[in-house]
Amino acid sequence: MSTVPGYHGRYLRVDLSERTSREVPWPDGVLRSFLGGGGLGTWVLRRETPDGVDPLSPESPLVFVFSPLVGSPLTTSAKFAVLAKSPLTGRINDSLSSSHFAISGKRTGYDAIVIVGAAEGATTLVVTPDGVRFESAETEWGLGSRETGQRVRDRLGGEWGGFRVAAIGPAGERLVHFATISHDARHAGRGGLGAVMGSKRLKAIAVAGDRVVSFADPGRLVEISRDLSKRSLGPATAKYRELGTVDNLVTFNRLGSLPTRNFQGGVFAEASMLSPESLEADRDRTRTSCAACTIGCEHIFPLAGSGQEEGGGVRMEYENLFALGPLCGVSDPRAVLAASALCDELGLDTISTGASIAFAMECAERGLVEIPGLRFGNGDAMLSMIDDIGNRREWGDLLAEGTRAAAERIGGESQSFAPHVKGLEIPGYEPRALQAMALGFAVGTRGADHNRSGAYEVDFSPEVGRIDAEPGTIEPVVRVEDEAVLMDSLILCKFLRGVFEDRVAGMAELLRPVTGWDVSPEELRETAGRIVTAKKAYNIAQGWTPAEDTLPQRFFEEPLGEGGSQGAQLDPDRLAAQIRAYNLQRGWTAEGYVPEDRLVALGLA
Amino acid sequence: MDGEGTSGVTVEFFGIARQRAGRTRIVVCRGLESTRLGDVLLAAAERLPELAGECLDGSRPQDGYLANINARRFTTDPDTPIRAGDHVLLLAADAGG
Ligand code: SF4
Repeated sequence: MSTVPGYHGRYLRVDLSERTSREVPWPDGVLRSFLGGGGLGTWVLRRETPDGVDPLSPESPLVFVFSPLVGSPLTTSAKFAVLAKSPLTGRINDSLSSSHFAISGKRTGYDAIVIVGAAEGATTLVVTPDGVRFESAETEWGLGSRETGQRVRDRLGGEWGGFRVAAIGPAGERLVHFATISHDARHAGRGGLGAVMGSKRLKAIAVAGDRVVSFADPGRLVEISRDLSKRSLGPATAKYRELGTVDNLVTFNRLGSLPTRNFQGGVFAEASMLSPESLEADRDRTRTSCAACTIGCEHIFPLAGSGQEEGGGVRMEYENLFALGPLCGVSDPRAVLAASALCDELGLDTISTGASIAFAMECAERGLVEIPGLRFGNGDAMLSMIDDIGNRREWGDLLAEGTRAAAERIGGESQSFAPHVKGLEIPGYEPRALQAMALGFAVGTRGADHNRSGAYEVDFSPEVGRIDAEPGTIEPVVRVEDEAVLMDSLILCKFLRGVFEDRVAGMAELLRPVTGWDVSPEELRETAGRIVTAKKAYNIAQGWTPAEDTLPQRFFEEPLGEGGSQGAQLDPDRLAAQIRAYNLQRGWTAEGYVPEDRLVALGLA
Repeated sequence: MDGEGTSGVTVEFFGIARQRAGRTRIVVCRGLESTRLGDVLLAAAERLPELAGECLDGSRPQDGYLANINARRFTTDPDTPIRAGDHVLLLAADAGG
């Protein structure tokens, strides 16, 4: 079969109900139009998802997608995307993860693995170039993803040079709406893809193989890979290498943009207790990296008794630090590290977990619910609630549905401070203090999300005032979203962003020797617009309405009380005008619907 | 304004700038009532030569770095007016988490 260099030219479609699989060739033009990762996954998901499907029903597809760069010597390219309709949001969800699963998955000989149906009993799906096997996972059911992965690897042995495994933990089995899919302690974290996998009674996917793709210009590819690796060790990534993203906490606190106590404020008085210096004061921090990465941003902190010693301890990043620390008012580093380890063990997204508990803490403090001990700052109560969420016990059962669903049940004023957009809990970027990011959250197809929008980059620039959100905000917000969608489709780590002088031109330069396409930056920009519009069209087909593109009422009514963003709040009229301008800039109607002629022009009709 | 004029400008360091500076802040430009960002950064680099090159490029933040005035507006413009008592934050532009 002749195909485009960088690709195998087909995806594998597995039906767990029927215990069958078949190969599906990519139609002409799809690869160049959607690239890989999140982009190609969006194309597959649109094709495979019935309108209005229940995300946790057998008919709901779960899609693992690799990309043309996987297997190349380009640094940070060992990544894969997982997509499904999110049980948390009811909208499109694409989460990225890293490392050996991407490399081994692509060596099965497929560019993507699409899973539909549901198995009768707990199952491990084994995919190799020889085909698929459905193995019982009854003995792994109930285990954490790390132990599951190890057991499956041991059982499958060294066939094909050894298997790599992505698995769910107990939270995925219990359909917690923000359960993760994990591989080597890295997670496709947001939006509850682990619950989609659990609903199919699919405990694990094991991949291995020896199929490698060709590259169009291997000599040039090696040359630019060397250059990229060299640049990846320069000043643009020093922060990630030396301190990790945990360093954001101190900076954000100084700017008054650190979400604190369920977004009641932007300053956490005890932030210094969670600074990188404090975290490593009585611990030996170590550093590691994803496969095929020269940066190595992962900073690991030991935690006695976490069960993570084998993997080297707890991986701390800004998002788990903020969500399980300041957002819950917790300043004890031991509690935050333990909470993070527990989320990993259960298979829970740390952002949604922290936000759900912070929301419950505020409900308890306002007297809307009676949950003994659950108050801001109580690390033990936080730990206990994480366990209850992962095991769906008592109040944890309600919080396991996410803050939007919990607020609907609790009622009262709780909906005004439930911290989500479209059901996805807000990450560690205070929207009143970072108002370009607020726009990015509102219009994001995945919900409140800093990885798909990246509009905080606009706030952290001289381009516009971060609290004034001036008219010039729209163009750069669209630009950084386009850049992010391209990085998520190629797939490259976003921490490489700073090494490109012109990101889109830089990505075009990487793609040419891989695929042989004479791709220009202009073409890539159009591709980005196509992918964002395809996601929007997916959401519209699944029931999206313009009313979803907003933020919780709190951000419009309660100005930030102290610190660098004192007095900041969102103006509803200004945000609405920005959303209209954003939609028009995308070629949609002012309300956000995609006109038929736009779909046709982008090849999406 | 005499009192403010003698208080100087506080430069606060975050991330790699804090690592290189080996401290969280310094006060420069004492005795001046007003100045420019460029002069503040030059004064900081004179006191802390470790910042030059990696974090500062003469009178500007190095590529990938930003200055922020009083925890509000970001800038890289060396002509940005600075007054005694102001705080200049020096930090990495990349806030990815
Ligand atoms: S920079 Fe960090 S997240 Fe990115 S590929 Fe490297 S180790 Fe993984």
